[in-house]
Amino acid sequence: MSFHYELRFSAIGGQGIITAGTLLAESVVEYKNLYAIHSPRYTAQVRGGPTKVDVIIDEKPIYFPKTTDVDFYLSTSQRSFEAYFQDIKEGAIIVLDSNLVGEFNDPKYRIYRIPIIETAAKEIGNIVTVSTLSLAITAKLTGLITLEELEDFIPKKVPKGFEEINLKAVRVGYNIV
Amino acid sequence: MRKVMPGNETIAHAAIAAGCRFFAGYPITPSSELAAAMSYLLPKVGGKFIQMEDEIASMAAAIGASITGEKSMTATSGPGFSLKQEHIGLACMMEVPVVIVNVMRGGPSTGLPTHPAQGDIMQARWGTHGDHPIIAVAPSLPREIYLETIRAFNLAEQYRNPVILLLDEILGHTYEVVDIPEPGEYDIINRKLPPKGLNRLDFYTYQRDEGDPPLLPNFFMGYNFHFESLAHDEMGFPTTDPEKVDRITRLREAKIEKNKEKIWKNHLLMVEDADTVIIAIGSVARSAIAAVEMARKEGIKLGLFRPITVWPFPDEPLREAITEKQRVIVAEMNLGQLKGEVEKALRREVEGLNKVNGVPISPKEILEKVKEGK
Repeated sequence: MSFHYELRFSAIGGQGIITAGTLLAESVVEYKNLYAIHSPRYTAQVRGGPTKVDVIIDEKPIYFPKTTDVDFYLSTSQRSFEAYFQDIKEGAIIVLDSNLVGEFNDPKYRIYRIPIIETAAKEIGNIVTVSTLSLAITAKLTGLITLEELEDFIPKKVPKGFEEINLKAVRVGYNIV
Repeated sequence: MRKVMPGNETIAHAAIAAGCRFFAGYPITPSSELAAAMSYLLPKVGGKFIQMEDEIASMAAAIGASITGEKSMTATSGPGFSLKQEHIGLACMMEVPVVIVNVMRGGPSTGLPTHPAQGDIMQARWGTHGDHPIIAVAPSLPREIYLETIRAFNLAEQYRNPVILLLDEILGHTYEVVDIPEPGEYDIINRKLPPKGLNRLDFYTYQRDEGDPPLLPNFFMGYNFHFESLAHDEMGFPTTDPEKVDRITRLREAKIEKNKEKIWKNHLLMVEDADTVIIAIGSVARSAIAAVEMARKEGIKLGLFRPITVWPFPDEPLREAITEKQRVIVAEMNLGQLKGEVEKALRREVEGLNKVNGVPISPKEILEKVKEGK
């Protein structure tokens, strides 16, 4: 079977997690010459409602753009985590914001608890870096994209004046795991 | 060039490449990204973007712009598509080229704004009243979305008729890799115009041979002429003369009917040796492609007939491709709109795989239906 990897990011609309999924898909297309698809899902309540984005990465063109066996799941909200806890593969990596998602233990999964939002706000110094931070955490845990590639990619994608702080988020994300 | 973008944005880029220089729209999920993209792309090429006060006005503005000679487009979803229908009829009647994108969502009414459906196949054909010609195309894959958008403009210009570009929420919202074709890889067709300097008293704007579109001038070409929503004669003036009304109604119909072989476009995947053939369009057809791949690995002879032109419906191509012995399953996200047309074309009953819950039909579900047997 050729390379195929499925990821899910869920959050409350506006937190920046959908952007993390977008950036991941774009970065693997740019650096790894793979096919990637990402499909965001929100409810009618775009901001403040539970949202998710599914990312599929494959060597070949992807026909069915929905996830069926999720290998990696990152969530920064209790409500969204529960709402979108479907099709998670046994052995999947699960990353939870330790301040925002309650205890979750299941030997079927590899679970990581990281204070993502708090780290962005306090250690990095700007909450808007949540997207980059989540992307870096994902990159480190999955090996889908290297630190050097992210350091090249991120400054091209963030608004002018925010390059340095996002590069800081990349490094913090890589080391926090 | 390769780019990661959602179907809605792909359409916007393709429209610009096709020569579209006017967009009027009103935001509606799941098509809004298309209007957003047009709002920043059009000014860069000297085009105009207007967010109108509502769906009806957007359709009217798109028609108005086209009459001046600009290639124009509007985009919407189910509820907005319903509102636009009266003016779609106006464009059919006046024979004005215009492209209407409908990114389908669950209905009726406001329905499921953020979920996919394919419930507007019949609305695309018969949404506006009266006998009228229509073209609708339904691409499935990213590069195809780009190329079919260009073809939609070409068809609109060539036949002077509204062309509906049918997508669904999945295609509109899914970000994926688009291999953008280079300008030399597709044709651009512009509407034919009458020569300048004709004597306007001898010039019958709606006169044409059967099967041809009329040779209408654009506004500001120096001709006085009449655009009319009432039944009109070949000069464009209202008439109730039964002979004239009959003639122009049939002429409008004939320009599509006589050229349908050129308008039809189908994708056939392993149909010839198949025991079972799936018929599907849009995002469901993508699941069907995956299902065919899965089935063939298991030794199941499954094929796919995918109409890319939905209207005029490819009845003759279906009859040619599918034999009496082949089992036919129409997979669609509605309760059988395409199935009815397939049955009409094949003159027999076929099976349906239908979903109307806002959840896409997966390749696995198609394969299960195939294995289930009749």
